[in-house]
Amino acid sequence: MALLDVTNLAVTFKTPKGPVYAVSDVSFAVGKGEALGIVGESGSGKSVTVKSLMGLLPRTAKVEGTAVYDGEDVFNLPKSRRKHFYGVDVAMVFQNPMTSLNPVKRIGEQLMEGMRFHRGLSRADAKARAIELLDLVRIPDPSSRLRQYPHELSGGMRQRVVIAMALANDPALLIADEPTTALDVTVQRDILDLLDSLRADLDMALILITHDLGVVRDRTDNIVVMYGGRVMESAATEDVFADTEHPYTEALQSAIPDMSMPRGTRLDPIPGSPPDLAIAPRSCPFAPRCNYASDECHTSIPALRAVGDTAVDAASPHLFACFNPRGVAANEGASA
Amino acid sequence: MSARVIASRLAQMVLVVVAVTMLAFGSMNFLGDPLCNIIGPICSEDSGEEFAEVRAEARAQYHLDDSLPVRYGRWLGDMATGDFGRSFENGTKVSTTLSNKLPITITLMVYAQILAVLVSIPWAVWSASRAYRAVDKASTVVSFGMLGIPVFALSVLLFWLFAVKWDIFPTRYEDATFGAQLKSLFLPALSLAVPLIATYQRLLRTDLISTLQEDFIAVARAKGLSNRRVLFRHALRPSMFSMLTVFGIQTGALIGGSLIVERYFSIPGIGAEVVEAIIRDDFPTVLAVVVVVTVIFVVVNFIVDLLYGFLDPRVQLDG
Repeated sequence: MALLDVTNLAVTFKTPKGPVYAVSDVSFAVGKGEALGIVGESGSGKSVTVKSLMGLLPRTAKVEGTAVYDGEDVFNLPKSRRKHFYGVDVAMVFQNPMTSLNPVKRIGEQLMEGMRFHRGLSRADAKARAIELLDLVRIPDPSSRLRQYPHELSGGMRQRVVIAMALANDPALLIADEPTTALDVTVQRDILDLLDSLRADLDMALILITHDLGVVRDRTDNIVVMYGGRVMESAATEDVFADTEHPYTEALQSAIPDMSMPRGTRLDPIPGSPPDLAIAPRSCPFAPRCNYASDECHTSIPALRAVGDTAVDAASPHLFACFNPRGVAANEGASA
Repeated sequence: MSARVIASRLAQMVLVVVAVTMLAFGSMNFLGDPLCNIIGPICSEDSGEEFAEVRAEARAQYHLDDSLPVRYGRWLGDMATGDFGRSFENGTKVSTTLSNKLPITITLMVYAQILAVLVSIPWAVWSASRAYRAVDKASTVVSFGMLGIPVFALSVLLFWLFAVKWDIFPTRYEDATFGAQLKSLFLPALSLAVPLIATYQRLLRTDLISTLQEDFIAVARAKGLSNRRVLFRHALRPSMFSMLTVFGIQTGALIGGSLIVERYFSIPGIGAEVVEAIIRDDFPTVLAVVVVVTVIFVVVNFIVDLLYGFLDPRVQLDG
């Protein structure tokens, strides 16, 4: 059974100009100790999806669907359970380490706060654990860092502190929302590798959100590709690359730079911009930018369906939402 | 903060105080003949030979034949030794008046600031965490009402309700014990505090609302901290800059307010004294109060500057 099972999640924002359909009909699951990548460009609904799970959305957001964590309904946790759910069972790392830490509190205080609040650790115990955590995220000279303020650390170091903070209470699930987007390219890989090894060492499930399909390629078990607040394709990571069904996934792949490409090869950007989510979707959100769109794509929403031999009840079925699939399913579709 | 920076700040403060004393002393001596303020209408040479001796005596006693810079220097020197001269009005030592009455006024001002801070902070946090909802909008109306009501009207209202009608607080000033003093100063302090409460609440609420949009607040929430903890431990401190700045500036305004309040509530503080002194052209008393008030204002604002560094470690004080 999956650790986290999200089914038919929908998030709608109430705005003065009318509702915005940020996330519609999103389902995915993460098993214990597994890594899931959620991939999509800005506005695809990936951040809103995890923020809804973390209870971080503003009051104007309406959340529908279910999210079951280890048998518990995340959206309807009893008050006593809710008090020690976030930051204990599920923790999160944010996009921008430069703004993720409270500028007026020392690193040590921010690290220890969560343990003391949730587990009532003594100052001394919390301090020992804080040093252990900084060591775990490979920050040199951890004990002297505790007395420093965030502005005294570099961006990469701060993101390590943020990760250490998230790990404080041994979460079973860590959500990382574009954890490297705001960092220097040279630091990005270090942080991603760190997350990867922590997941393995601590037997922790990881949801890694990114706009870069290349980032999740070697670091995740499953991938969900989102666009316009919907799931375009979802499958085991190797299936996504070996048998790409959705034209959007294909387009994302051709945007990944590859060192083996001949010099001077141009990367293919995806033309156009993401859809306006203020309009209730009535067609495939990607259709206006899609090279393979047919009439049907502009008039109805393609339902998620499985690639022939991966049944829906399989561990990670290969699902896609497209009338004109590009991979194996294309031939099946023709024959069906 | 380095010793050099502190030394430089102290030097600046001394300069401010000296400049204020010059202005005050100068204007007091230019606005009319000081001799007339000391001995009254007989100061004029036309008022008859029989008063010539009185005039000469007063001139000698107050060194009025010396030049202005010399008299200023003497006054400053005396003040440095704690001698503020004698009142023109009744000849009592100004330093005695100050030591009797100043503590009452300072108690009143500190009391008002404490009340203002104690009420405004929880109120601002409460309204910022409910920003733009109906309750927050209602509280905005209330705070604007508090800003609009004049201190004298508020004094009358509070006095009538709490001292006369319901008899909760005494109608006259008592200071037999510190408790009695606090009790009898409560209404005057509240009269002074009400506009301050509203000012601080407005400023802090606005800054809190913007702080609550910050990423580190989302991080604190994702850590599963309670809402109260997020608000008070994470959002409050980085949001206090405007409020603190105005806190320092309001110290000056409070002195003006205490003139009215002390007279209305018959509190024997320096405010009531200085009003009398101004009306009677009692220079030594007025000048002494001006100097003391200036020093208090400068010192409070220096402390405010130091507190910026406490609120945010990134703030570096420069000389």
